[in-house]
Amino acid sequence: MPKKSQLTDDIVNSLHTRIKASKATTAVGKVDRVGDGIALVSGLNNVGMGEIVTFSNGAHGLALNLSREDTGCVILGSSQGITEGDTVQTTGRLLSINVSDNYLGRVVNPLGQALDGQSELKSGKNMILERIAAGVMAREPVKTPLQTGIKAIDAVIPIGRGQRELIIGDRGTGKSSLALTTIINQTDVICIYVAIGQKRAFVAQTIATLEKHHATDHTIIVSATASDPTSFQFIAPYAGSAIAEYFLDQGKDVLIVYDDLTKHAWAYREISLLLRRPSGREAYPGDVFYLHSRLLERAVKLNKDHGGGSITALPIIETQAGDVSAYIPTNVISITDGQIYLEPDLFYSGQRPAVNIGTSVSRVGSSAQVKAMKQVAGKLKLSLAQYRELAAFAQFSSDLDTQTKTEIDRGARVTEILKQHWELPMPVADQILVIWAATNGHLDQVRLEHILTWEQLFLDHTHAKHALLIDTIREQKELSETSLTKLQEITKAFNLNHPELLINQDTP
Amino acid sequence: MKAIVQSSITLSPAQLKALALKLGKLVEEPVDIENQVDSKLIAGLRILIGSRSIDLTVASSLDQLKQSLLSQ
Repeated sequence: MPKKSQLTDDIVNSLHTRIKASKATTAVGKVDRVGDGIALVSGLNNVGMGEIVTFSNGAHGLALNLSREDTGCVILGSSQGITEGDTVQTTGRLLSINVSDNYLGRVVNPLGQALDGQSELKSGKNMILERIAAGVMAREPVKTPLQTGIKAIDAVIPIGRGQRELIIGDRGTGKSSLALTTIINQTDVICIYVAIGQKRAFVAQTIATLEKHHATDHTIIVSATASDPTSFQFIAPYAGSAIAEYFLDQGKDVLIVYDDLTKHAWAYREISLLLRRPSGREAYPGDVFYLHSRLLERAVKLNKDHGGGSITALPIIETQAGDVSAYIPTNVISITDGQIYLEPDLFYSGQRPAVNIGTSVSRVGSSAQVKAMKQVAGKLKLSLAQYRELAAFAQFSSDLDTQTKTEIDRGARVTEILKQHWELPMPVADQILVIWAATNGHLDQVRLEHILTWEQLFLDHTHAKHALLIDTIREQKELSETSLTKLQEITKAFNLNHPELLINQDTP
Repeated sequence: MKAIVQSSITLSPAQLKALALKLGKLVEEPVDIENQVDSKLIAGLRILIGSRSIDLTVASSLDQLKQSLLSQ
């Protein structure tokens, strides 16, 4: 059969070209010194920057320091079994990770090996770890909202798809929780959670949380924990980015959380010091800004001609005693499109999520906010700003005029309504309802301690009796005159039916 | 300069001489060849000269083919 032989010929030809394409000549070197995850190799001529090298025991390394005398390589994995005098070969390959759709719901290390003990990962496409970010002409402005499900953020500091929004705060202020809530709230966005230098127990807990909220099927966890080699912690965010770009190339929307970049900078500092690179401020090497800028530049909103996908990045930075003017925090603040600032004082006073509305900003997200949210958020920002100003002032005087008192009371209620349990993201239509009610004075008569009960009951009531209104708001994406009138009626009737939540007018 | 030539069968003196001539041209100095036999190479030659390795064995071709097929 001529057809069959034709096919065989094609295969043979294609195999031939592939064999020919592979490099026959490679450079060979010898290990001079090895230790602390670093190998100094002599004689490795013609090795490229960032090229993968193989040690004679099969371990891989990454060439990072090239000099006339020797090459400094970071060992990817354990340095056990590598001894002085071992031969090292160049490979002509750059660091890459093999990604497939099979990754969804899995836990992997930065080299793409499964860590969850489940089946082997199917091989797919090789994605280069250090891919250059998309160019200017491929991008378009951020315009679609990324709903975090957190009232304080969606209303005041909205995040758009393709944005880079920093989450910054001291340890234990709920930074990771904020990111996890956002992941739980996603339905059509693929989420990648990169754990850098975290405790293994924390990563295990994160996986358990995601499983509990059925969020694993759209999530990939890239884990380089504190006990993994420093080289893994260094490449983990780039690996996460490479996985994100695999889905971006399919035109999908991706959310990537880097938890956290402080530890990433530490890992890079360690590697740089061991490679004897000159150190600068806080002993970080000179290119520590570029370390994060090239990573966060890969967050992108592509235009239609380039598939229309997006990568939204939520980097996390941990500050020491609220010091945002340290080196790494200032660097990342300047790279990102805004920051969510979490404060320990707010956290311990019970205001959770402890977002400081005054100092947090989102530079591009407001253009992505849905119209209905914009309608209610303006008033919210105003009453919060007035409240902050007056609350400080009111501490000194006992008798206030009625208008000041009303503003303070309302501000307290608006602040209260922004409280939220971290594992419970709220749909945007629900957020609009409660924020509308709070900013329009429908909560002024509700007791402060009953605000969250009111919210729960009100939403239950509206969902049960007026589901149509919620559907209308969700579909129209704005509050029309008719919706507003309806909402007014519902709220008034609800308050009348729940006198137990209100301030007793007779005994003030 | 010394060169190590690995092959799956022992090379004849004439073959070694021809190789030494070729390699001498490559590195621009006289080359002294040591022949090592390794049946795992299947066929072809692997030459180690200075800090260069020229791998023309079937074993490594097959290995690279395997890698390139796996990464599709």
